[in-house]
Amino acid sequence: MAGCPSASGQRKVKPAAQLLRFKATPAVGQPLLAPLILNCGNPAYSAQRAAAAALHAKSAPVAARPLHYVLLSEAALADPVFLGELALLVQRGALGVGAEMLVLGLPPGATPNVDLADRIAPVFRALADSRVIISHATSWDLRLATEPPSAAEMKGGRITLHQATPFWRVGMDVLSAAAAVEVAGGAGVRSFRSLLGDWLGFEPALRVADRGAAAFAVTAGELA
Amino acid sequence: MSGAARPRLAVDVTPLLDDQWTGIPVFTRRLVEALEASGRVELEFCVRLNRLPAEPVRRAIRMGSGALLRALYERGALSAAGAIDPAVPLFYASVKEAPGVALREASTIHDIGTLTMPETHTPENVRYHLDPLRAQLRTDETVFCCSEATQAALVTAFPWVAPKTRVLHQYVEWPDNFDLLDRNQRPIGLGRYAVAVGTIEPRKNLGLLLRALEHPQVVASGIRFLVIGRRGWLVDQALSRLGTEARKRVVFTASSRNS
Repeated sequence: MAGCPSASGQRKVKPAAQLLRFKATPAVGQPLLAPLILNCGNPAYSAQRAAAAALHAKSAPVAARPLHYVLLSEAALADPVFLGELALLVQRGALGVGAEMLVLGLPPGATPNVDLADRIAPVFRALADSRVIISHATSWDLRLATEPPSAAEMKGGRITLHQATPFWRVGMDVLSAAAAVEVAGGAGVRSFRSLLGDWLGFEPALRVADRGAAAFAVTAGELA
Repeated sequence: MSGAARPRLAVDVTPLLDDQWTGIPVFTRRLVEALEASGRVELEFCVRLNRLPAEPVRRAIRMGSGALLRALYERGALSAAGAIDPAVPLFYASVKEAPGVALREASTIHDIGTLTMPETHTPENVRYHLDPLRAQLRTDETVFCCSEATQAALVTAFPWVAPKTRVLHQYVEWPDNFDLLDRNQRPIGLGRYAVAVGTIEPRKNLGLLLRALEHPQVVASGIRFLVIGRRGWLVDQALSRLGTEARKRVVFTASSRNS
């Protein structure tokens, strides 16, 4: 136990941190994968269609590329910086663009037995509100997952975490199998990076928003 | 003997979803017709990153309206064609809503009035054009401008775009036998009219023309003002400034194709 005298002369004690981490990701529910079927004009109906097309993880089409797992929560989806970046990832992921296959970890439901459609709907609503154009074609190039991928599936892939997601549910087996762990989001992302670094034992990368690709206004007289 | 395979080109035909085709939808129609007539590319059609079957697009072009095409698209009846292939070059006939998705992209700038004269547009229109503009230009391999004036205005605002701009004229449809048609036109005894053709919007100086109706000499002449074109934006403000007498001398017609 480390300690040092404080300014008042009292001894200040900092106990060693007890890192409450899962060695192996616990299986909480049935691992389901749903394809992206998003008509931004009707996200609720799209969520029902996507849920109806969901398959058990073992039956889904095999991922031929390394995975990019992005864990979501409704609070994370309310972060405009995170949502803007996510929507661009989804736009490209739905078309199979990029070296990785995007897997979105669905927000946990309000109750243990919540319908899959009710877990998908907030994600689709947020993506529709982002104003980023996303193809409404059915795509298995992007998956919506009820459970994190296995360590074997995650090998060589990437994990993106937001401070408002239940990242502690992902075990060290999966986190250490990934080639990269990164944090994303707006306010507080740097302090979350520091906290997550302490928790993981290594410093995660900071995902910088692709400002060039993101939509933002131009002004008269710009000479960039 | 089979010929060499033609390169594929996807054209974003979002403007064709409009009911009434004036301006940009007409440009889009003529662009598609010209590309098909050239026989040099294998054309594909798309809207907002979704492929469209060719036949409904060609039917809309024959009909001169996108009402049916839009109804089919919004109902999901055209979704079987799937998403676009990002490997196929993508040519936007107007605003590029999803910059940087395809490996090779080009788009068309019709005017940058939303940037230089935003007061003549609604805020939604300004946002629609300007939000993606920088990314649109940055990700374009070629930026087509529909006139030299548009090209000059664009390059003034964004000098770094100059090397990749090209002018693509498609607006004017001038039949070969126009002189003959004009000479044989029977005189029309309808009195004196001034006519404005085009989408009705402030940038076309419609407000100024309407105010001219109240000039004493114009009032004395008995001239009437005929406006032919799709109703655009901010029209009510222009009309509200007119007096009752002047308003009686303004006639709005239905839209005219190719106006």
